[in-house]
Amino acid sequence: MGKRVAVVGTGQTHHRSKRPDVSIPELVREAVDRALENAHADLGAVDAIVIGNMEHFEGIHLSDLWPAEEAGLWGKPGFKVATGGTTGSSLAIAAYYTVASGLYDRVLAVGWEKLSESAGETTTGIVTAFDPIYERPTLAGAVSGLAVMATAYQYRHSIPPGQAALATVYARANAMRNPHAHLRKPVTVEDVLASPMLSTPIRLLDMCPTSDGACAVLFASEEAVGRFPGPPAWISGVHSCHNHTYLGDLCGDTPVFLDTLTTAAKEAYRQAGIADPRNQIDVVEIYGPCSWACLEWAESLGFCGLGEGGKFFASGAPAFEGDIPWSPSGGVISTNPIGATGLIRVAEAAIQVRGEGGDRQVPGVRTALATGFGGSYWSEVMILAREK
Amino acid sequence: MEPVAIVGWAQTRHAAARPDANYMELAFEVVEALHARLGTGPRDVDTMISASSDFHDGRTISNMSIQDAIGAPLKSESKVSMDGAFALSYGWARVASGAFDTCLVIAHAKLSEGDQAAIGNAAWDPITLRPLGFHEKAALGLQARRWLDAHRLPETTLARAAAASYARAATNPNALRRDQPDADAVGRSAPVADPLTALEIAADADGACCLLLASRERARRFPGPKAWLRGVGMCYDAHSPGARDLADSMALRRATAEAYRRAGVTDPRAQIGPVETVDRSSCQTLHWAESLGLCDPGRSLEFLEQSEGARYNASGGALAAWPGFAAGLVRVVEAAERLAASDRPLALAHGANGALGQAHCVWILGKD
Repeated sequence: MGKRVAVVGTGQTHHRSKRPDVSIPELVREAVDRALENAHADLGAVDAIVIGNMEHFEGIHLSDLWPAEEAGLWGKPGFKVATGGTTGSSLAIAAYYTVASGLYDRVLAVGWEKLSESAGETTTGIVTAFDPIYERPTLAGAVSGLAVMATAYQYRHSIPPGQAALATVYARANAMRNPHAHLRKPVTVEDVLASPMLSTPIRLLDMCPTSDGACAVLFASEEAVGRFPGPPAWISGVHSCHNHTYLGDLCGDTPVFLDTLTTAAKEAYRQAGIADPRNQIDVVEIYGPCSWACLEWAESLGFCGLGEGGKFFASGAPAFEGDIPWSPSGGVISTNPIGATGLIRVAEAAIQVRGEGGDRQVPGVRTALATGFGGSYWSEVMILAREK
Repeated sequence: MEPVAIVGWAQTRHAAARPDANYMELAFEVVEALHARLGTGPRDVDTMISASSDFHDGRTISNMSIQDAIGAPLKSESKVSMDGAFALSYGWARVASGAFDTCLVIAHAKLSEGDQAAIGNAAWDPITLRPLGFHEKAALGLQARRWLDAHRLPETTLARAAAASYARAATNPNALRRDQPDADAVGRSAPVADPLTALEIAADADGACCLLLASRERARRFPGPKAWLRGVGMCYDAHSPGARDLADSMALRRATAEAYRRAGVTDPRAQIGPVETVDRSSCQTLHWAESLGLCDPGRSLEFLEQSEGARYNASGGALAAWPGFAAGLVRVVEAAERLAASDRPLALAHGANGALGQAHCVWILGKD
């Protein structure tokens, strides 16, 4: 079997809607410097770099090449991963396998997006993911596909919109604790329900923003962990699960819309020896792009029964003080630099395990779960633990 | 390095344009051919790594559209957005980590559907280089001029190198340029980016390529010819062409040294048989041969034209067909295919990212 792998350093920018003060390479460098500082290391302690971003947003082809030096790639091995929304979690997973395989002992994962430089708006890039003939005219974009999912979910289980709004309320309250979060302004259920409708049933405040930001996470093998002074966050479960090309193929009569998350979580739980996720996991950092997704995915992850996602959020369990704090960073509903978003989930989970969360630290975290979401409704899961 | 075997492979006949197939169909074509050859099906594939470019495909998250074609639903796929040789390193890592027993590595490109000058322009620093109209072929021209000057070689060197590659491509049914132009014809082809003419620059192609990796244990179930991955090296260089010596690739030298170290290569000229490189120009055909240590600096044309050089880009190289990110994976497959018949124990396959080779990847393959 492969080597055991741990996170030994994390760094991220202070995410904003616009960072006109920096270029893309400078934005990347900010996150890399902070990760190295957190790991008490310099670039000499990095053997290889896995880098990622989505080219269509900034309109830069081969987007690993321009910021290569700022990412630390000069003279070093590395490769670029790009999988849409999951890019950040895919980077973490690629870094994990690269270390576990024994190829390199210390691998830095670097992801970024500067969505303020998107031509027009972010959706201009996202629409091209969809088949130009069959799905682009009706389903293309980030909001419309999620709206289909939320509509199906709401219809099956008769979820009142006020319960979904709670996911935003908790997220924004948590963002107040996180100096790196983009949208740091608390909102109420009434605010969410009064915000403009984007695509039924998703309103403006149900949906994630678009951000400028970068994130870097340093992974080390069990042999190399000792060189870094901070407590390691050991990776105990990893899986990703992809799905059909066409969204229409995903709308069948399945009990949950996102069966990729159910599948990925089941495999990651098996690897980590988790039989009772609600009690064995202390905190989660979920790639929930909209409030409605958070409700359904609580079910996919096994935190509550089928159709109980609304009640789960209404119970207060996912609040900061609840028994399973949900994205104490403020999550994706508060911050979303797409190519970094999934990596921020892994970084934040590691921060919780390493006890570095400051105001957003959940007490006594031993096990944390991070997810990624993107593409044609595919999911990625990484579980991090204090014990090896 | 944990040995992982390439147990099967397939590639398309690379064409200037494949109007009969979209890129999902190109991907399906090679996956179907691979399974037919091995007697396998999607259920025999545990995980898959694809290599494709969102710009070449004109779609963001363009691996999304090949999920059904490659059998990914409810499995673990990921995309390396680089030349396929780099994707192979991730595929190898997934198997070597022990998490998966088999991995499909697949790459595709359909360059006929895009404006390659515009796409190439978008790969350069948007502040200092893109406004100049700089694109990949212009960059290749600068590199060729610098390399000729550094070695004090005449421009005819480039035409002779290209002619040598095309003589090899004539016997490769998958190559695109197979009509064997001689050095005169190459030199007389349209000037594109001084000193390079059209036939001294790689032929943009539509094509796809895939291979199946298997762990040491699982590889035993595949009776056919195999090649074992014995060593890999990768390295990035600076972005700006002005910040590096275009006649001396630090990144390729370092990637080569790493791959040789892992595979125990101490005398590449004696140990390595088939060599396949992603040469985007006939200058790179020569330049990369030197950087790999296969010949002395400035002597690569002689190497290429002599019998000793016959093992170098025997497929015609990327010069005879450059199907975008599939090119590096095609090199791996071409090297693997020729290894069994070689009188030497190892083969080498090279891939590069960025027209000038800002990042390089070198693979050493070993006999079964």
